[in-house]
Amino acid sequence: MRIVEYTSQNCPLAVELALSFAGRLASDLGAKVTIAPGSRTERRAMSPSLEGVSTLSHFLDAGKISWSDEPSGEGGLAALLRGADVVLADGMAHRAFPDAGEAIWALVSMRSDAAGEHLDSEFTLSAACGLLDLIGDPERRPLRLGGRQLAYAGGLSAYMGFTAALCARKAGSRTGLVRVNLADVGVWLNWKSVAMSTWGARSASRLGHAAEWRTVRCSDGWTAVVYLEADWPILRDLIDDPRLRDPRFDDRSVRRANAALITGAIEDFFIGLSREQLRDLALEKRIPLGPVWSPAELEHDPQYVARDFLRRVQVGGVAVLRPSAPVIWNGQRFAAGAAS
Amino acid sequence: MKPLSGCRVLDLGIITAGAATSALLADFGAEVIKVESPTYRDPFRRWLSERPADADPSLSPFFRATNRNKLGLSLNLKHELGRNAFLRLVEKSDVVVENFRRGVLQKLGLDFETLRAANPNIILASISSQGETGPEAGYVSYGSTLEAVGGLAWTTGYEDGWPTLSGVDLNYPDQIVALFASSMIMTAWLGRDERDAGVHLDLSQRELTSYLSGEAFVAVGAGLAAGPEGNAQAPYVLQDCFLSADGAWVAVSVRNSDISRLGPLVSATEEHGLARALGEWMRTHAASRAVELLAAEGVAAAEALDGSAVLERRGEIWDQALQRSPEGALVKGFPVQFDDCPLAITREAPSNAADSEDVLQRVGGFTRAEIDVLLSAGVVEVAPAALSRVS
Repeated sequence: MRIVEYTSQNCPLAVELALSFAGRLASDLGAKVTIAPGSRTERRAMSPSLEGVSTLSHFLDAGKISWSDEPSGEGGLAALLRGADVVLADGMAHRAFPDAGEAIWALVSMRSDAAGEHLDSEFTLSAACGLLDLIGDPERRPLRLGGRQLAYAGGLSAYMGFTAALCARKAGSRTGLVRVNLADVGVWLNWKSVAMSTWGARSASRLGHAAEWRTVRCSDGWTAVVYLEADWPILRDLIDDPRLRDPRFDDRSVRRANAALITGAIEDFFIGLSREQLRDLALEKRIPLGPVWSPAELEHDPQYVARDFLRRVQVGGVAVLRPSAPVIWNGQRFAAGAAS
Repeated sequence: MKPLSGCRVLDLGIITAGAATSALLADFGAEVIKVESPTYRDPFRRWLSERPADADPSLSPFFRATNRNKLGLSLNLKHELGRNAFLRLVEKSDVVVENFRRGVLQKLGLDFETLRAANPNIILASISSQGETGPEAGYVSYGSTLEAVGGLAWTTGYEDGWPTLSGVDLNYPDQIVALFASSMIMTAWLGRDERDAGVHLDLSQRELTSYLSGEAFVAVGAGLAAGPEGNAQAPYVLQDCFLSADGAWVAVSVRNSDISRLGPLVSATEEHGLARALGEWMRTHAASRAVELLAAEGVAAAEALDGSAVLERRGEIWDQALQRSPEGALVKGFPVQFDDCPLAITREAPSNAADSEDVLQRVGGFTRAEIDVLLSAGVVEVAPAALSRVS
């Protein structure tokens, strides 16, 4: 499988990240992914960086081939594109090569109306999709999720789209251009709160400390309190706090209305326990508590170690920690992107 | 012809992660048969019954939204007759999707080796919170649990605050896994002629959550700090939400090169109170006017909308993510679209057991007498209309 990432000089950063993520996943799964000349100069220089290259680029470009390193590089960009099975591109790059052979083109854009393509950042698009409104405290400003979640979700969508197109081709049919826009991806992720507004349900918005699911303190950090109906009696009995014995709390709507009181009681119990102790309790009681681990701590997490999910890869003078593709295929783990 | 025409999927998925994965496969043209049991239905059927007027109480809005384009079969897999019937369907199918708690499929006597004995080329997608193996394989999780244990919550939050979750209304890891799991299933389907055996896909939602924070692992692995990020993010010198005169929050991303263009609106530099100046300016403008003025200067800005406002603006920046079903219900749409064979919602989500007879006869090759045996044993349910035809 030959895949080319091809972005125009004016490609929005979020689009470039989406395309790169799709390429990274394909590379992890064994595709030969070539990066054609484009706009990623800015991204490579962004902070934080490691040996002069951004951590974003260390992650996204792992295992890929730079066009300048291609043996056929002198054959020209058009030849590279015509020889590809899939081209991951933005709209402007596609317009520069509208007839690039048999390759399937997967195009990522910011929004459905191309006219506003450059009026958004990933952050402002997340705001317009309702994603920010759900996160944080109601009395404070809305928050984004950590990292580059909307762009990477767009990358997953692009991978999904071009794989479907390859399936169609194998069956003797064609899909035409594969199109992903990040605004639709954002609303697709946020479908519950958008659709709920038409169902006469309560309006979903960030609830902060009054949220049913939230993080609370424990002795060495934080733990996520997450539970559904069947988990409540187990959690209540584990906490064994008179405040939670109120029979009215058997009704979820009453618990929702008193979420701050309930999580307060839970926190009073958790503050005497470490995250490791809470993990053991979650396993023993089969309840979905979530100790909040940092990425650094996860390198030595027993589950990740047992499944060989994170690997150290030597890049220059530094051993970089790199996640593998999150799938085990017939018992085999794909290697995390080869050294870039 | 759609991309997955000819592919048949037995969907044991429930709630979001598994059911949404199969829904995407259905959108791409697979024949997806949602398999429930007379003794255990998808809990989503009863999730939030906001609309008492719904004609069918087994079709909650959440269930309708997630299971459109599928057929419905009700078959008790805990019963030997039901298990055997399921394996007959496996013989005629290509994919099985499941997101039960780990161990349930084995207890049902339907592990991968058993499925492969019935169909050597079967693709089994096992979607779980922690994966099939490892000391925490039995860890029970819902979406936001995985944000905590996967490292995402660590980087989400106010700079001075606690790790923060996407919460019950977004439940981000449960949404995102459908994109990934359906992608892996299609990758396996694509390569079916290049191998001589089935595929077991062990898909860990926790690992996916971490993979989607890949650069944070690179950073900490190299000794660079990571923690709650707030809204700031490179390459923007300022990125945050500001409260407008009419009480709305406006998200703004400012590049270094934007600062000079902000001059007519805000008199400040990055070093000298840009955030404070922009905040003060925002408090004197209505959100829509502020966005308009910032956009005119080439600065990215948008109001932080709630769900109903996002829906009102359908057609402005998005148009595919939610669709109307044939009966007019608002259901999940598509994160991707094709120019030459557009994805479409062509079928309502199935009422309980809506297609049991059709599936057993057409797919499994069951005779009328065999179906009657299953019915009398209580192993299969059929739709009320179909039941009236049974003598």
